[in-house]
Amino acid sequence: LSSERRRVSNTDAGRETRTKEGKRRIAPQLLSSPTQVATSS
Amino acid sequence: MSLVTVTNVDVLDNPAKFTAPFRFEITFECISELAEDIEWKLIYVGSADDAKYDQELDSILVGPIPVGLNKFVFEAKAPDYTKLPSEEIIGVTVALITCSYQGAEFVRIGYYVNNSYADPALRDDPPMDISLEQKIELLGREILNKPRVTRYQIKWDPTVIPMST
Repeated sequence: LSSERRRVSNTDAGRETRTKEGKRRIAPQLLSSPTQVATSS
Repeated sequence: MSLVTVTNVDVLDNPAKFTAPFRFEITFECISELAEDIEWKLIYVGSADDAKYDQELDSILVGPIPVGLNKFVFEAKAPDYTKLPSEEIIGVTVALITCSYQGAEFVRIGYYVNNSYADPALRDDPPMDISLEQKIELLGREILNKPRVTRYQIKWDPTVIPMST
């Protein structure tokens, strides 16, 4: 689930869609993950 | 402990025309997988005296949210000036960014907003005998720095285990 979420988020980052109820929905841009933070320090 | 922490908000396109959309670049950290999206709203306080003039300018769901540091741009339309008390359009008011999870608000960020004539000369000598629509077109909006941030404790997903960072 974690990698799937990350993949979806990175692919769709900033893309706005609509939910079935008509609400706006946007995928955030992942700037850094805990793994990236750990390896960069 | 909050699973989502707002780490920074940059106000974009500031100052702007009164009729321009609000734009905020929001950076937040998520320390655990969330089952649902988080919901952001922008509320414009139309009158200091009566909450009935509050306008929810926009709301947006953000998700799916990966664990880590994330950012997105929240754009919301300008207030409907026809629903504001005309005598309170010019002056200082408040815009509130709220964020909720499963309907529970966990952070509120309040900004002072100063609406005035974009042309400084008009501030001292306001135009007379113009329509409200014409007046609105002459107005600018400046969102002031140093927001007031209020955090609330909420119940997050019962099964989540925060990841160590």
